[in-house]
Amino acid sequence: MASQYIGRQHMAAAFRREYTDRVPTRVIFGLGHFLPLTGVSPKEFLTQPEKFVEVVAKQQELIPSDAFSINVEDDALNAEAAGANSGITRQDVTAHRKEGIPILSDKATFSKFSLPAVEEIARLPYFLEVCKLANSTIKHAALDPFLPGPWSTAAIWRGVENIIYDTADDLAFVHELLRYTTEYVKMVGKALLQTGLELMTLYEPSASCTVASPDIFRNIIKPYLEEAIRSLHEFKSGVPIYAHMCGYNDPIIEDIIATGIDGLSVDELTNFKKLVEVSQGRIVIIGSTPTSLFLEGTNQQLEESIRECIDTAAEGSGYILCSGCMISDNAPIEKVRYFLEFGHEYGSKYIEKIKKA
Amino acid sequence: MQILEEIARKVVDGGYLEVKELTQSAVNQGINIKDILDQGLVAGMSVVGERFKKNEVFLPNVLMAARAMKSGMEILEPLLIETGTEPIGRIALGAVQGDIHDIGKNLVAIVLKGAGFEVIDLGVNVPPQRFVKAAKEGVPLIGMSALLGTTMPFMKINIEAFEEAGVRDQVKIIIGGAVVSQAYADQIGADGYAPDAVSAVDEAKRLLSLS
Repeated sequence: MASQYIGRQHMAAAFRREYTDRVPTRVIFGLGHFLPLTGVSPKEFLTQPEKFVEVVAKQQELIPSDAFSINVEDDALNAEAAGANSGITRQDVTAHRKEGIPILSDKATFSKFSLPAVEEIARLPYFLEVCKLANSTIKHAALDPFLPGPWSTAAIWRGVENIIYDTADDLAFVHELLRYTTEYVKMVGKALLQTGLELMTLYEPSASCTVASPDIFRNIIKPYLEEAIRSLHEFKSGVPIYAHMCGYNDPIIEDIIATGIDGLSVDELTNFKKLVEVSQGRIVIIGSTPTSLFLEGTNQQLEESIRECIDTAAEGSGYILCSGCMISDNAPIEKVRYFLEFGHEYGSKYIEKIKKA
Repeated sequence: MQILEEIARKVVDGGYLEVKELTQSAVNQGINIKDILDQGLVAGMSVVGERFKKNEVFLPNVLMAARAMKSGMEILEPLLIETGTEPIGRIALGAVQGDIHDIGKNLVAIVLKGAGFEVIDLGVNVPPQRFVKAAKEGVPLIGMSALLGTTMPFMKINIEAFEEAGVRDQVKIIIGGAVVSQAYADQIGADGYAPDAVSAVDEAKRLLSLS
């Protein structure tokens, strides 16, 4: 039976700890698959907001997720964020990224960085336009921009391996870089919030214990993440901000909650049962059907995962069924659709059972 | 031997400058090069590897230890070559196409070298043809890593490329990476899977029938 609510309402209800008529269900799936289906060229996609939104609309038509993501981080944005004084161009950043060389592989480059005004970040106005247009055009699903958090922004620019060594060799530099990236994240986050968002994600994959450690999270990462979240909450209260942290988070669940996030999106490397037990409804949980099931798994395996996730986490609301991060472009669309369909079906039955009890 | 125990301790602590100094000191004292490697550097790395498997330490500790081990190996490698020590096996390692994450791959490379392997590092964002080329050049073991759900499919694509090139039966393929699992390795027809760098050594030896 079709839901009486639209995707935005399902997502909002989860953050209000209310039930609709099914469990909110979404996927994390890139847009690259849909360009050929729309006839939009990559250049149009990257430069014309209406074309970007056209591709998102096609994605939503084929896979009606309750929320869709826009990745607000690209090489050009990185280059512009560094400011004109650094002499770094978008092309430099792109070339570096292709070779796996971080733009701050030489620490000395950082001394040339200055925090630009929002309007000076040439690519950000494009993303802001995309957000405004997507929000007003795609009315049934919630727009969820993904913005790298302070630590992951620093790790992208400096290189994950380098910044980990820095935590032992040059902690002062790490703090200096994090102060910069925190201000950057606050600035970009506020600009995004002003477009009328109902939801936002700070993604911090490099902050989990798959890459960092409990000590590094608690002593170095957490204060800056907490500051960014507090600042964004104060700027626009009522808009949920959640963290997306793929990887192993079991040792730091309490610390993550203490940052003030409204929700946590995880993948299969975090013990889902433990997350539910430890968090005790203090945050909304988002996750976590393994992405490999969308590639090589059977429908039965998808169903098993969906049942397990919902049965574990959906009681009391505060839960959003989601894929891990992120589904490959090679995954058959039918599998992604099946995930949503069965998620809706099982999620409806689950809510019906809860309401009757 | 006290100095070798000290080297091992410093590897565990991640003290790369001390390891370099102590390794040179051990060499100067005339201690057998292979003993310095096995009882100093590899011993320390093994301790960290075991602790990592038990979640007692985390990737940063492993990275620091590997950096320390590498600093010692930079002194020992030329000496090992001089003594005519042959590698126990050869492996080509790379992050698959589209993937620029190399921490895991780099760690595996360091630990495999410590274990006596010759490692051909293909780098990151490696297209299928480069992996196939390594196989055609006689490298018997191919290691592929992927950190992202979006790049994982290239592992299967690479295996298909080996089959198309007629070299699949000439190589053993081992895969790894945060998103990868034994189940995925089985599904795509890889020969082996390693969840971490230290396990990769055991798995590499198994695949080349060295253990």
